[in-house]
Amino acid sequence: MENMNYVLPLIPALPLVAFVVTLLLGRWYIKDSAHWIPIFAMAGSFVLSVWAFVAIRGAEHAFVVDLWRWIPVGDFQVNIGLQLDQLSSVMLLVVTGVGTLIFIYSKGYMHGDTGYYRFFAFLSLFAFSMLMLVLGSNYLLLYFGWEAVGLCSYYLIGFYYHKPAAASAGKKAFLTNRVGDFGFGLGVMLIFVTFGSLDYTKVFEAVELQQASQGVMLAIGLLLFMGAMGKSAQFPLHVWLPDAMEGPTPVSALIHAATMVTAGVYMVARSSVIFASAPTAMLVVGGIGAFTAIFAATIGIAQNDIKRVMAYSTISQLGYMFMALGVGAWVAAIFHLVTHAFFKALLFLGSGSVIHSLSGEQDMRKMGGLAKKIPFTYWTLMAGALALSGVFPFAGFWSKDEILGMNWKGGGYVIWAIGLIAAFITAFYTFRLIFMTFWGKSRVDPEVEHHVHESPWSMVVPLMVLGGLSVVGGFLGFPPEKGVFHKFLEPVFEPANKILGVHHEAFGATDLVLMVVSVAVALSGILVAYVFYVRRPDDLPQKAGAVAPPLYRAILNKWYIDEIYNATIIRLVVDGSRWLWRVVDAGVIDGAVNGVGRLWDIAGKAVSPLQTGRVQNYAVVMFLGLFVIVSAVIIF
Amino acid sequence: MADKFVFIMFAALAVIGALGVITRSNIVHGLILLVFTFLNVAGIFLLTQAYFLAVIQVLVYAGAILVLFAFVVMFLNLREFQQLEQLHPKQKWVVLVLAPLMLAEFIFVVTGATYASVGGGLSPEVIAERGGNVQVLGEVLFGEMLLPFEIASLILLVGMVGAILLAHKEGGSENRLREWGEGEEPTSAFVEQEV
Amino acid sequence: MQIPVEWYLVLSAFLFVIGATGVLVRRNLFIVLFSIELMMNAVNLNLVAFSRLHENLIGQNFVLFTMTVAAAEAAVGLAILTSLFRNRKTLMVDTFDLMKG
Repeated sequence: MENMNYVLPLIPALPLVAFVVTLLLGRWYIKDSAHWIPIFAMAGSFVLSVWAFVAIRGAEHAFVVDLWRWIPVGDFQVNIGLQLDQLSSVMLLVVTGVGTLIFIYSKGYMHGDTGYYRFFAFLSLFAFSMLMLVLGSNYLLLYFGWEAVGLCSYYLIGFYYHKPAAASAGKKAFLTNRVGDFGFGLGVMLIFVTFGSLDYTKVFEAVELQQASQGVMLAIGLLLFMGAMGKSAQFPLHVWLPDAMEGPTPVSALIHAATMVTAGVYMVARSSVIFASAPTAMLVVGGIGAFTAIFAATIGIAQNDIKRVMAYSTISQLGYMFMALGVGAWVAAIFHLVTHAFFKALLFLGSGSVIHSLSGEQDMRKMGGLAKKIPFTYWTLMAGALALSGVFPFAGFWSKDEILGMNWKGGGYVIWAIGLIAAFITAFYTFRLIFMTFWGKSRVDPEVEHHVHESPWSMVVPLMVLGGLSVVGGFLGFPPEKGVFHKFLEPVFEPANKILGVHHEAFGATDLVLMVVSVAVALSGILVAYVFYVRRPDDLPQKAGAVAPPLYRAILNKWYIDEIYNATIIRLVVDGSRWLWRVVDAGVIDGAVNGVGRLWDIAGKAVSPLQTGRVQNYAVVMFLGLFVIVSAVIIF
Repeated sequence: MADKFVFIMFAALAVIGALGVITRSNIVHGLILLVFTFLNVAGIFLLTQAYFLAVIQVLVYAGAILVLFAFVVMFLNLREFQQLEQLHPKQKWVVLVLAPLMLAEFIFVVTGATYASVGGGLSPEVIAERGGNVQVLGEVLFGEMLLPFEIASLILLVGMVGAILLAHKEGGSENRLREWGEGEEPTSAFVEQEV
Repeated sequence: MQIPVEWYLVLSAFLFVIGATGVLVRRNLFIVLFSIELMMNAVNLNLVAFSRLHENLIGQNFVLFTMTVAAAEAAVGLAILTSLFRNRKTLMVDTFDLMKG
């Protein structure tokens, strides 16, 4: 355990070094071999994460490494410290493990791109930022990592910066995050003001001792959740995620599926003690999560871009995680985070593989009948789809079912129902994607069809690894609530559970019934998709859409959320800025500055007539002055 | 007693003369009145036993400087001095208010102070003993005040040179020399040009 | 001292103010120069009066010098006047305003 002092800092340090080296030397020296250093760095970090994982098993308390004093300002003391406990070690494994796979995938996907070295440099920077976010031992480091991943996300979304759509998507992501971060920042400040420290250990101790009022805890919880809404794309701050698909597919897989968007979930889980002390906040979390889950799912039905479907799916699944957090099922949420990382990364990478083989085509209406042509992609994607739909015994089933079960048992029947309906819709749109892409008649452009080929090994191997994990990964959580995974994470959430007064029930009949219901719902969703897109692909989808055209249009247009924002908030800000520019800047400020200049001009012209050029006038003034001086002397 | 009477006479005449100088529109009249004023001032010098200065006043000031003025007046041959407005239309009001005030102030200051002799030791008796005003003045002039004396001579030199330079007329000899034909008189324009 | 020194000073003040008025009010350059001479005389009077008070001949010596300076100044002033007249054909002082502004 002593070696942890050295091992732990190395985990984020390796990607950081990779970033610096790749960025500085990439253009002239490394060029097309730019992937080696980052891949090795990530792999190294993964190995060290495994070591850390083994070391922390069963530990009662977190292991903190204080690297150095960062801010020693009177009462405000913050150190650069890394905290290793079961929760952070799980996150470490996900980030480094999935990260390494995606790095390897990128070698094949980004091959030949002009910004090759830039891509890997910033992927490494992102890895560093995410690791710092997860490993930080205080809220300020969390905030630092939070902002840093936002920055990398902005950069990587706008990677193809020549495309205006990509550039504005990056801007949209950053700005929307900023709105959430405003609340997050306030929350952090409130924590400091209330507890006098930002250290996890100190803060959580103080919360357990009930040192703050209910109102303050509620405020902190809601403010922190605002940040989570922005980062994890929950309604109403979800608008940036679909646009973020403008970035390269590996970016979508790593940042917008497996890691960055899960930072919000991690943060809430980390602050479990705080949320446990504010039941209303938990209700809000759960409610918004549930709403987002079904809201995003409905939009996913009508999308035609393969990546957009996955984007809305991500938003929806994140909603599930918050549903779990809202009811105190901390482990369930993290469990779903892990399984989701597996199958969602797989689905994105697989979509990328499809796009790659179709020479860039992303519209599903121009796909079809690809199953035989790209078998590896097909079978791995199938595994991912089954996991996402929650079909037994794939990974997604276990985690999703546990979330629904915990909600039912916690008394949230409405939320359970919403989650169930969303699961149906999820299965539907997932298999709509599979059927439209791989089955049936080929609607592929003849030009493109000639070149359809399976992707290179660097892309296929990660797909297979993730596929395997999607199949067996769920067994970590078996039996529900008592699995290996749960036992591992228990010590972290003990304080929160104590506050909530939660006790674990045994695996009983209720659980079994709920499981059956979940599977039934998932299978029925798949069946409906089959009917729509395999049996009668030519008429049924159109007929269904024609049943309620306004509804269909609403779904297709993402419920017009973007348009509403544009018309209200954006217009307000832009018009306000324009007014400020024209009136305040050009008018007042420039006017003042110019006015000062003109003032002197006018003053000069006013005084100028005094100089008449006539000596006698000057003499009179002198005489007058003499008079004044003599009078002054006389008087005083 | 007699001194005071004489003083008042000289003083009054001097002031009247001065007032005349500044009010007459005819320049020559002003000049003559100035001479008159100076003569009266010389008289007052006599009253203070500054005999040498009185004489110098008449010889140099009235006799040389004002004669110089007279020469220039005649030389310039002004015609229009009587037609034009002689006083500033606007400025005169300011000054006519200011001047009496200033005068009042001066008088106030002067009469309000007490004067004590520094004690130079040269009372009129002592001066008479030492050979008279001229003698003692000469002793002081070439004794203590030798340097200022030399500098004064330099000032005169500078004044002379400056006056010549400034008044020098431009142009070569063509301006001056011209062949006059028989019986031709220099035209008035030519005479004007001479000036 | 039969005649108090204040009398001389008052007379000097009168002459000085009258001279100043002449300098400031008259438009003819000649009269201006005359008034300046008047002012110089007033000063000489002052010097002589104090010379008498302090029983010291320094005052009278100084008058010699001021007279010298007055002479030089009158000469130069007249030369300037001549030059001005040649250029402008007038001696009205308020027409000389080239330095205006």
